[in-house]
This record gives sequence, C-alpha cells and structure tokens, in this order.
Amino acid sequence: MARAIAGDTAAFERLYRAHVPRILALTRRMAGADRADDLTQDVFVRAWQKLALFRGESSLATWLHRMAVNVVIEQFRTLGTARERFLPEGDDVLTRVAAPTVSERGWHAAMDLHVAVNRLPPGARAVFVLHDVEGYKHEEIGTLLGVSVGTSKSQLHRARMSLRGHLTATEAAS
Amino acid sequence: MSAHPLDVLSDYLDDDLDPQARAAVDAHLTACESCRVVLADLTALQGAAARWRDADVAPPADLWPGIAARLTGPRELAPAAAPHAPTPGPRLAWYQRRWSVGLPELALAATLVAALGGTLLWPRVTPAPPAAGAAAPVIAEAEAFDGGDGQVTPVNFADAQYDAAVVDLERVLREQRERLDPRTVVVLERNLRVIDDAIREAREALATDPANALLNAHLAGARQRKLDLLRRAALITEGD
Ligand SMILES: [Zn+2]
Repeated sequence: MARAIAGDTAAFERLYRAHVPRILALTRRMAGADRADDLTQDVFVRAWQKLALFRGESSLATWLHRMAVNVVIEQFRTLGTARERFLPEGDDVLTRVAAPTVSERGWHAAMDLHVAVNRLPPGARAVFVLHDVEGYKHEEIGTLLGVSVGTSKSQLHRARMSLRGHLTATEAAS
Repeated sequence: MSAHPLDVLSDYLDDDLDPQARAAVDAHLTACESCRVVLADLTALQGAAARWRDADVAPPADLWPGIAARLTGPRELAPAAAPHAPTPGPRLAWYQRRWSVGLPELALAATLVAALGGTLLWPRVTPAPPAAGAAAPVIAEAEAFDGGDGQVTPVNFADAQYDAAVVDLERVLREQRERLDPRTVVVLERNLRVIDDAIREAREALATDPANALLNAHLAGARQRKLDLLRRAALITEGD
C-alpha cells in the first residue's frame, strides 16, 4: 500500500489483482457487461490517483467500492435526460397483478437477474442495485443520484415490479 | 375487496409502513391471492438480489495493461490536515490545492528541514498544534518505507509531471516574491537548497547503484517534499 502510494506500479498491480473481481462484478451489475470493463479501468486509474487520500477509516475494499459507485454514477449523468434515466411514474407495471402460477417457478440464477436488470433505465437500475444488492439506504442513494428519498423509494418499487414483469415474461416464453 | 395495494408492497416488504397502513395491507393479503403472489415474487427477487452480491467476475487479461498505460497522469497528495477533505468547487491542478498553512508552519518546516537536512532518512514529523487555530500540516512526510523484503522498486512517478509542477511553482514564487516576508524568503531558499542537495545526492548515488531501494525511496521522498514546500510557499503568496 505504502509502495503503491509512493508510485510503485507493481505494488498497485497486486492491489488491483486482489480487488478487481469484486469491482468488476459491481460495475457489471450497475452498468452492464458492455461498459463494465471500461468503467473498471476508470475506477483503478482514479484509485491510483487518489490512493494517498485513503485514510484507512474504512477497508480498502469499501473505499474502492464507493469509488466504483461514484464512477458509474458520474457516467450515468452523461446518458440521456433525467426522464430517460428513470422509470416513468404512472407506468402500468404497477397495476398488473400476475397470474397465481408465477411464484412457483422460483428465481434462477443471477444470469436471469442480470438480463432483466439490463432492461432497466440506468437510474432505476442504480437504485435497485444499490439498495437491494449493495445494501445502501435511500438517503445515501438520493444523495448519490441527486434525487429525493421519495424518488429513490418509488424508483426502487418500480424497478422491482418491472424486474418481476421481465422475469415472469422470460419464464412464460421458455 | 379494496383495491390491490400494489404501490405499497415494496414499503411493506421493507417494513417501511406505519402500523395502520401495514395492518390494512395484512388484511388485504389474507383475502387476495394475487397480491400474495406479487409479494412472494418480490420477496424472491430480494433474495436473488442479495445472492447476486457474492458474485465475483474474473477480469479479462487485457484489463490491467489498459490501466497500467494510464498510470502516468497527476496524482493527488494526502491532505495536510483535514481528516477527510472532499474537494468541491473548481478543480485546481493537484499541486495548486489550497492548504491552510501560515508562516509559523513554514518557519517550523524550515527548522525541521535544517535540522534533518544532512541525514539520509526523513522521519514523519507532525508539528505541535499551531497557535492561531491554523490546521497542522504534516511536514516532511516520509513514505512509510519497508526496505526489508529485498524487493527493489525504482522511483517512477512521472518526471515530466513533477518537473512541470516545480517549474510552475518556482515561477509563481519568482513573480510573487515581494509579497513574502524577507525572512520567509530566506527560510524558503535555505529549505529548497537542502532538499535540492538531497535530491542531487540521491541521483548521483543512484547513478552508480540504480537498484538501491533505499535511495529510490529517499529520492521520491525528497522530490515530494520539494513539491510540498513550493506549493505551500506559493499558497502563502496568495495571501491569507
Ligand atoms: Zn390484491
């Protein structure tokens, strides 16, 4: 760590090897496989630049995780308008009541979830991943994304209902 | 039966409803199988999401080379005083960041540098709490250096970038010189001489022993301190 701060790229590469599987998984969840590699590179370049600011108040894993979330969210802001980034209010996704057979199929692997999450607009996706996967609170998510707590809650609910719709549709098709 | 309370099922699941609203949903659920199915789906989705967290992804082989090629740009220095210093506002070059440093600190730095100038290793020095509420900078912060495992790592923070920063700061100081207390100028110049000597000595020693890890660390530390000192001095000329 001290060596990586002092400019030793070999030491930094060891740090990268130890942490990249988690960071890559996170960027894939948040931004999809297409952009995950580039974003992960951005995360580690930024970590290199800011390593001297790491104070050891959290673990390095947590510090990198936060940094990755920020890198992904900054990138979201370049994707379309706010309206395009979130699920529309009043979408009929909330008014559908599924047929009673649905819950019996169970939820498969992360694979299914990944595919379904890919169809969410990036802001709604971020809310879902941050809350339901990464364990962030609505207050933190609101701050990160620049939305109200109410919007975070409502986007989470819409994302969940939408995912449920995608997954049940996938189920029906197979 | 009342309308399906689909819009609050997430709140219900997250235990984010007041008792009255919760009781109303409970009552509906006992009577409505459709809503029970939705709730079961949402619960299952929550479980799947939690399991997703544990997935790791092996990086493609070309990921690291792409990163390594980009490790040449500016790096941020540890903040001198603030335990956490988010840096809002307009972005300055990393060596232009504003620090809270006053003349007492610079004088102290001078004393320290003068006292330690001849030694090869620089200890981590934190000055005593300053008088006038100024933040205490960490002066002459040596890298925690471990020379014990036999691994040798050459200095590799970008020379061009370092040189550019030094040139830039030296120019600022030249132009602003008359705004500095003459005693500060004396102290500053003495400090810079000491550090420059250390840098020159380390470079000369490295020329004959390029793999010497201790010398490499010493050189990196000395350059870092020079930059720190110039930066602090330049900030003083901005006026407090
Ligand atoms: Zn119902």
